[in-house]
Amino acid sequence: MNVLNSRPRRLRAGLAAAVTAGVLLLAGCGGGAAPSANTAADAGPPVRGGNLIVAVPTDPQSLDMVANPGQVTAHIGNLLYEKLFEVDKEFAARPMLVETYETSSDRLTYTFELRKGVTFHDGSPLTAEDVVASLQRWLKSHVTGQQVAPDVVTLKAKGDDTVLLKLKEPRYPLIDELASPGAEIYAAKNLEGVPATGFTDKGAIGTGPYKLASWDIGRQVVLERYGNYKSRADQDWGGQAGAKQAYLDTITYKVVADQDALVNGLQTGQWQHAMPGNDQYTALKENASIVVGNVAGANQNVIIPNHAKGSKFADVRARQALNLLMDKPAMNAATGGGPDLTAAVGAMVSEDNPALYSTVGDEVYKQHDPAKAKELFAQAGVKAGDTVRIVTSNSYPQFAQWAVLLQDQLAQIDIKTKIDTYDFPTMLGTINKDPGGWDLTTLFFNAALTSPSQMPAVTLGAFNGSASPEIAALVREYNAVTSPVQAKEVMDKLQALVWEQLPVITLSQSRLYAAWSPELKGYDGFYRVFWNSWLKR
Amino acid sequence: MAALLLRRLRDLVLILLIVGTMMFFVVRLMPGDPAMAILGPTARPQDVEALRQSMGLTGSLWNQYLSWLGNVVQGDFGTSITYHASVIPVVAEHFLPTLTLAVISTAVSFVVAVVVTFWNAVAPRNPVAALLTRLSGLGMAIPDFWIALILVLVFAVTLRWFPSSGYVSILSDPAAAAPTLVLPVICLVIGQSALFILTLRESVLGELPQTYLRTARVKGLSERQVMLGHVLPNALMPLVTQLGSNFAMMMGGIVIIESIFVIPGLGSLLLGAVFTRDFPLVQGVTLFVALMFVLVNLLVDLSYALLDPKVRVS
Repeated sequence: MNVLNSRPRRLRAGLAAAVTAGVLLLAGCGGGAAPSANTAADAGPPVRGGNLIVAVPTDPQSLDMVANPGQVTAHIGNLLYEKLFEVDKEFAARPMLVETYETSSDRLTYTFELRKGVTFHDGSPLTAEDVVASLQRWLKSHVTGQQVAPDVVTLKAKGDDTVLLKLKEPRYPLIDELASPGAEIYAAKNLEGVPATGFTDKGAIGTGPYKLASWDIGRQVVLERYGNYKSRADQDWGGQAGAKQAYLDTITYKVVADQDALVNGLQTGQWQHAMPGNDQYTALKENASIVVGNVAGANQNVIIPNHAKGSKFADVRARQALNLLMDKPAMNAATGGGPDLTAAVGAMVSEDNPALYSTVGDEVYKQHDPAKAKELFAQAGVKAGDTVRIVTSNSYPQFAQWAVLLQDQLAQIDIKTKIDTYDFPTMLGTINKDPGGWDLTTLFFNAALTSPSQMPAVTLGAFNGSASPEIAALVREYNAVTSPVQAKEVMDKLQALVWEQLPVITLSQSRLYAAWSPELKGYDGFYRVFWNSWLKR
Repeated sequence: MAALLLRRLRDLVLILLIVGTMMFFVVRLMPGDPAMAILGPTARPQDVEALRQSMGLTGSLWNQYLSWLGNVVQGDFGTSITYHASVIPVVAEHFLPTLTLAVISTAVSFVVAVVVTFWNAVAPRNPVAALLTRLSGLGMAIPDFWIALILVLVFAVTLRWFPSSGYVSILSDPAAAAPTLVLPVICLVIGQSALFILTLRESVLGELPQTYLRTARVKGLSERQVMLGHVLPNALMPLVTQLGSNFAMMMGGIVIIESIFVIPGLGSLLLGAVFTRDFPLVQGVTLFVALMFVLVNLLVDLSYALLDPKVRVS
């Protein structure tokens, strides 16, 4: 699921598309802790009908989940499209469009048998050709698929209902990666000639329980129940897996960029669900007429040192010095929301995903020793009086606040700073234009991931020059494992290596939250997924 | 009149060409790469380049400009990078909310200004009329976003008389649209009518000592007839100029009001387009706003001729 979701203050509207798309690393979604108010016995039996109104911070701008990895696109897309596998509330992949699958003894060949009777919203049946066309596009154009692509030898249809996928090398997380955003299955005919910018609303046809009814650009997207949806027969596994019942007639996603308007609309019943920014959390929590709860996943808040030649942080000792210098609790306080929304951990993956969550290296994360930092900086050639160049963005206020706090902390050891604050696209453009012209930047990433190859530590190499043969070797080692126990061991090693090489320096994990009307029942705090939810009037 | 129209049409083409050309180069001089903004920091350089190419952002700037100009002449303003749709329908979609707000708030402000000013002129000792005139200074001084927040707090969140935000097209459902328009229109009317009152008051005060009014009174006209029949038409000219200028400004978008009341107008569209470096959309909106400015000014000029016989004669 997508990353950037804190929509702190006003005028975040236009930024959201750029920022979400920009910082996103896609991954699966997981189930968060749903508050008791929502799962209480008073929910009663499900009620069919009604229109759920959901406030979203931006127009999705595209409903193509390969071309647009933005949060709103992903959240709406989850109801429109399905993948071969979907993640449950603990990020474990479970079959969705696949009925059964087999892996050869050498773990190189996967045979997927598709469920029969599944149809797209235009009535056409799901076939193996649709799966092949969709996955080929994913392998070519999506950031996760691109990580998988080098291992794929062939991907082909065998009859109408069987898909064969042959690998060059065994890939342990393949199924998890097929359950991550971007691997949705579209009708092959709708993918012909689609440009890199993605398909239009006419291509927004999937096999999900809701179909696109209308889309007023900049105002709202309306989904309506797909009458011929064929649900899995198994139970609701939470997250995106298992049986799906479309109780609601329609779901209207209204574009509400302004945070005050978002909260006012919730209070006055104009919409029944929103994911406001951290600044609104306390006030909403105190409002008895609104249910507030964490949703799945988290964001990983990071300071990114530039490893490229010309940067003050090309030397690992400078990065280690910075980690020692940073007063992380003070910087986390600037993120907002308090301890309910900020977890002081150095993990790269949300704790909602126990298979990948690792706190190895947290002793490094917790170190704070400015005197030792000064020594290490000196060893790395960064002396008193030198100037560190920080490129940050005011699109997300916490970014600029972290930069100012860093400036203060560096000043305490007599290192000067030059902070350049831009809007988000300009920040990215500035960094991209002059790879050696900056030292530090600020970002946050999705921590709801399903495999190491989706982690910023692995994928950020071209951005800050942090690509490392040791990290790449560990990713390969992870791909070669055969059991969850082995996978966890490698994940721990990877996490430890990240704290050694510091491709990014983690500040914290921000928990996401949603606020919704007590009328909304059955909602399990899984982003903006509303099948198996209903309105109790 | 025909000559005036022809002259203005010639100016219109020139202005649009100049504005369009300037915007084309200005947006491309802005730092920030739309392809990078869409794909994010983890994208491979070759993918960023491929997307840039599919957006038509490669090749020399001059060739890009000629290509853009050639398309514009044929009515093709390009495809929005973020909306994946032709620029014209996207702009049209966002124009109606802004136009609705601008027309209603300008009309209401005009009526309020005329009524208050002439009430004050006819009954200078009426305390309410005097108070309203004096309050106009305050109305201009209070920022509209503050008024908006107070109105939302009182009338939407507390009293629940009106929705706190939202937009319904007045063309598709006027009854549903009315409640959503009340608070944003009030916000705009407070500042605008205050400005109009002050403008009209100055103008009226300038007309009152004129000798033609004495003649009118000597002819036996009532004070109301004098005010409405003689003072108003003469005093309206500066107000019409002000009104045209204000209206054209609003056509460029009422960003804060649109943002607070979640109205998908031109202002929020342009703001979003700038932040996402949606070059075709920025250029399209800018050209459209320039067009509106020229057309509104043309209408103002034509209205002079209607209001003032001297202009018609000259």
